[in-house]
Amino acid sequence: MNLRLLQLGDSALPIGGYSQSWGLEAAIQRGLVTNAVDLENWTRSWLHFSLAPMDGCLVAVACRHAAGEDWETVTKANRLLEIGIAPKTLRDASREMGGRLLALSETWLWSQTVAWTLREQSEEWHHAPVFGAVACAAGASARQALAVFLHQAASGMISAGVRAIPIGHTHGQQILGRLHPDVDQLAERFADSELSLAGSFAPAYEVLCYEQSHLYSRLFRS
Amino acid sequence: MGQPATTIQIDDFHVPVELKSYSLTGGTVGRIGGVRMEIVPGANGTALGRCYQQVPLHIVPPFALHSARTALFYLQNPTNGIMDGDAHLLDITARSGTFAMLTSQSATRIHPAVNSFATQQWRIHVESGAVLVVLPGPAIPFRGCRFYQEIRVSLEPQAGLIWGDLWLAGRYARGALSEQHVFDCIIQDLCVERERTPVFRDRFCWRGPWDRSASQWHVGGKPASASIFVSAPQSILPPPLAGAASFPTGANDTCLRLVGDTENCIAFLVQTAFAAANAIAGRDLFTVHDANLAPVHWFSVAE
Repeated sequence: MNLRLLQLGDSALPIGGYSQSWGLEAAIQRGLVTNAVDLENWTRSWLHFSLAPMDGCLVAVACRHAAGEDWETVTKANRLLEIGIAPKTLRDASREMGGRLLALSETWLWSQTVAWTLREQSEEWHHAPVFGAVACAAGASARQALAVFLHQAASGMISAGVRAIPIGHTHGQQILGRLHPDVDQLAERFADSELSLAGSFAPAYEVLCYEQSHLYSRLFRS
Repeated sequence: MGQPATTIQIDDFHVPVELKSYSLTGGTVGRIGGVRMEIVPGANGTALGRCYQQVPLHIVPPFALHSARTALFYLQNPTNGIMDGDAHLLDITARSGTFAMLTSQSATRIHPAVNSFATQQWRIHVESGAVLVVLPGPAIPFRGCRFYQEIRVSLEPQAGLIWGDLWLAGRYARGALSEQHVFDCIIQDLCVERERTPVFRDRFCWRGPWDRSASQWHVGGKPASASIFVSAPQSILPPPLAGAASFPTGANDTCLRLVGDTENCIAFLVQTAFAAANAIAGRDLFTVHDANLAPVHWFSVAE
C-alpha cells in the first residue's frame, strides 16, 4: 500500500477543500439538488464533464512530466488553469488549495525536493499540478494519481452536500462507493491525455458558480 | 484592391487530436475556403483593406453603423451551411484606429458527418487602438455532426476585442423531428494572447448525443448558450444582464456566460458585445438602433 498517496488523498488534508462546494451550494439553493440521489448525479456530472477533462487531465500531465523532470510542462499546466478556469471562485479555490498543498509538501521529507523545485518555477500554484507532481514523488503512476485526485474531489463534494442539503454521513459514503466505477473509468480515460487537450466548458454550471458567489448568505467559499 | 492570392489550402488547417482519424475533403472546389481580410482606417471611417476571398465564403462591403467610423461586415456563405469535410479559414487583421463588427447574416447549420468532420478556424489580430466585435452567429449542430472550431487571437496591448459565440441545441423547433444535443462531437478551442502571452483559454470537447443529465449540466436543459470574451476589465463594463454570469479572467479581462432561450441569448450577446465595445472605445460607436442595420437575427429582437 502506498501510504504517501493515501495521505495525499485524505479529505482531512488542511488545504482548504472543506470550505468549498464548487457551485453545489447554489444548486441546492435553486432546488436542483435536494437529496442523496440528486447529490450523486450532481457529483457524477461534475466529475465527468467539468473536473476530469480539465483539472484531472492536468493532474495526469503533471505526474507524467514530473517523472521526466520536465518542469516546463508542469508549469504550463499551472498556467493553463490560471487562464482557463472562468469562474473566479473556482480559480481562487484552485490556487489557494495548490498553495497550501505545496506548503504542506515542503514539510514532508519524501516530497520536499519536488515541492522546492515547483517553488523555484513559480510563486503561485494551482491544486492539480501540485497534486500530480507530489503524487509522482509518492511513486504514483499518472493513472493512480488521477484516480486518487478524483476520489478526494468526489469525497469533498459529497462532504459539502452532507452538510448543506443535509443528508446523513452513511448516505454520503454510499454515494462515494457508487462513484468508484466512474473514478476508475475517468482515470483510465484521461491518464495519457496531452496538455493541449485539457479543458471543459459547461456554461450552466458556471452560471451556478457565479450565483453561489452572490448568494445572500452562504456556507462555502465557492 | 486585394492582396496576393494566398490560396487557402488543406494544410492551413489544424486537426485536433480527437479528430486525427478523419481527414478533410481537400481538393474539392468550394469545400476548402475562407477569407483573409484587413480592416483599415479610411477617410470616411473604417474600411475594408486588402482582402482575399475563396469560395464558399465572401465578405460583403461594409455597412456604416451609427457613426460612419464604425463598419459592419457580413460574412456570407452561399451554401446551406457547413458540410461534412468543409474547412473555412478566417484570417482577420484590425488595424489601429478601426472600429468594426464582423458577423454572419444567418445561423450556421453544421450538417451531419458522414466520413469526416467540418471545421472553421479563425486567426484574429487586433492592433492597439482598434476595437473589433466578432459574433460568428448562432451555430446549429445537426444530428451526428462533428465540428471543430479554432479561434486564435493575438492582441496588442491596447487592442479591443469582443468575441461572442452562441450554441443552439440543434434543430429543435421542428415538432416531432426536433433534435436537441444529438451531435457526435463538437470541439472548440479559443485561445487569446496579448503580446504573445496567453491570457485566456476556453477549450471543450463535447461528445454527444447528450442524455438529460448531460444537457442539464452543460446548458441547464436550455436550447441555447452564449459565451463572450471581452478584452477589458469587468470594472469598465455595465453590469451583466439578469441571469448571466460575468467573471474577471486571470489576466483581468472579462468572460460572460448565459444559458436560456435562443432569443434571450441573442439579445444578451449583441447588447453585451456592443456595450463592451462602446466601453472600450470610450464613446457610443456601436448601437443596435441604426437604420443601416438589416433586421437579421442580431438586430430584430425585442429589447
